[in-house]
Amino acid sequence: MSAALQATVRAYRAELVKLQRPGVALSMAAVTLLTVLPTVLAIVLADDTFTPPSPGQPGLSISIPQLETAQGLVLGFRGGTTFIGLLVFVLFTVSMTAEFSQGTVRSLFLKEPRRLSWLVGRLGIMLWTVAIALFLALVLSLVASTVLAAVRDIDTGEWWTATALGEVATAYLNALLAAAFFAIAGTALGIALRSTTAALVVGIAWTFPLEHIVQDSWGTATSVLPGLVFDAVGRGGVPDASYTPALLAGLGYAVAALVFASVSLRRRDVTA
Amino acid sequence: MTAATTIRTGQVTGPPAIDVRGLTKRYGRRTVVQNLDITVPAGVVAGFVGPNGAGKTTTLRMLLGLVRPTAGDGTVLGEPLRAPEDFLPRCGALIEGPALYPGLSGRRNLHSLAVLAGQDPAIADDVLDQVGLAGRADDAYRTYSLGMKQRLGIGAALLSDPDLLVLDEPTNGLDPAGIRQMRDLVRSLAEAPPGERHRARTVLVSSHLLAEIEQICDWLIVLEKGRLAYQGPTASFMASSGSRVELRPESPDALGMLADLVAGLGLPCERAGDRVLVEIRPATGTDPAGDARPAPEPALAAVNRAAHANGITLVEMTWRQASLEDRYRDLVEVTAGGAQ
Repeated sequence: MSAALQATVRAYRAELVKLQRPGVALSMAAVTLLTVLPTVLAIVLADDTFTPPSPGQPGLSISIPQLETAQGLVLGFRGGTTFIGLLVFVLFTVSMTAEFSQGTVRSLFLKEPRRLSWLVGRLGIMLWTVAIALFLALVLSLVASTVLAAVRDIDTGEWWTATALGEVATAYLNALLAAAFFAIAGTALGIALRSTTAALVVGIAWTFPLEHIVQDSWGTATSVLPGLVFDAVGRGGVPDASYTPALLAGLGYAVAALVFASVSLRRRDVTA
Repeated sequence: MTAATTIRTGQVTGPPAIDVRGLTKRYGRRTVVQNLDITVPAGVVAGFVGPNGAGKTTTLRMLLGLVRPTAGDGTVLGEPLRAPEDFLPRCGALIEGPALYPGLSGRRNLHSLAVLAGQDPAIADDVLDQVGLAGRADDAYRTYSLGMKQRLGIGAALLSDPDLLVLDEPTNGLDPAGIRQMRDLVRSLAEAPPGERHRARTVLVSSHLLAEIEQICDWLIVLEKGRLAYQGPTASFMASSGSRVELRPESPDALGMLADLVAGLGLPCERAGDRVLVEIRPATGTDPAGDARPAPEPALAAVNRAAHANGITLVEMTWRQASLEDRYRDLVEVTAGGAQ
């Protein structure tokens, strides 16, 4: 195994040691529960008005007939991807800027000077953690959907078919992909700005209000601007940005962010 | 001094632990460190002193791969300065205070760093014991006092059983008892492990507390405005300074005559209140190892004889060896004067 790969594995294991504490478990539980919230709201607020099911249907405007389709089981979960993206973006941005503001980055680089290996190992364990949290959120979402469907007397005959389970798997993978894109973007922004306040102001202001303002006057923005593209991937495609182009654009942004983060981390002085 | 130089000031002789040439760091048009040549022999406890803003921390960061030098090159532990991955596994460092995770316990902080460095995590327990934190190992780092945090920071630096230990202001914020503990700790760290006399550890410690440096360091590097003002054995540095003798005659009326007598002996002096202050300059040709400080006895005896012969009774004769702080102040004043 090469020295760089060994360093990556060490970084992964070292981050794992840091993650094994009650605070992280509580945070993960909170994120998981918050992620289930859109499912609960979607079913509780669903009405009888029929709207043709669409992968890009906004999460909280769901009708009961839509819920009774094979996609109904994951409509709430899928509608919450924007929220998941925001949480993941903030989590990864803050965790990276905290390394600089607390000065821990210099302790880390004194032990592991291969900075890129450290970055890859760290991203690896954090994404793995997000994957677990998302899976738990999905399971909870399915349980909540089943319970609430019974309460609201929604026909769930289509929910446990092979097609429906395929929709569940697809929804999970898309949510995970979108989360990974947001995570990489947040990490890159954290490395670039090194300040929690600056990174959050710039990141949230750009990705959420600004992009949506542009989107209102320029529909193509949905398939061009990064936050909207990531969101479209999470939803499995939206009317203004079909899935495959959105996925390719998202991958492009993620690769660009990774390259930028790697160069910045490797070349810039650690003055924290 | 070249890389081949060997100086026996510590417990071992051999190639230098640090040997860099022309080290320079510029931020835009501001030069923080300029053309610095540093050699730290292996096995010494080296003090790194200089006023705030002299460039000490930037220099240490460059030596440890945290900051990229604008110019200059050299070796650390025999490995190229620009390949920190080759020498950092044998280094331990505490730079600008401890920086660990507030929510993690002391033990878990060290476990995480040990795993990152490829060490057996079990070593964390030994290190916690060594720095006197075994009893608080499972408490959150945020609950530690400043002194405990400093000790845990040093513990983190010791995880890899380093050949070179770099401590940047380890006594910052400590009370006198904490400073004494830190001094004892640094001394003990500099000693070679039993049965390993051949690999005494090199310690490079920066501090504002010159009295501490004087007590624990056998090698000295003085930085002034990003430039090297002195480097070499601490004893040589001290030997280049003189000492001061205070003479108090029984009668203040004799002060003028006493001052003339002292001046007549070729010793610089001045009157101050009811005393005459005499500067005893070092004799030329000191011990090559720099271990000898100027002995004032011959000059004192001559002064005493002359005073007695002229009917002056001395009721006080106090000799004070110049401290590192005195010598450092002189050096900085000379450097500042030369720069004007």
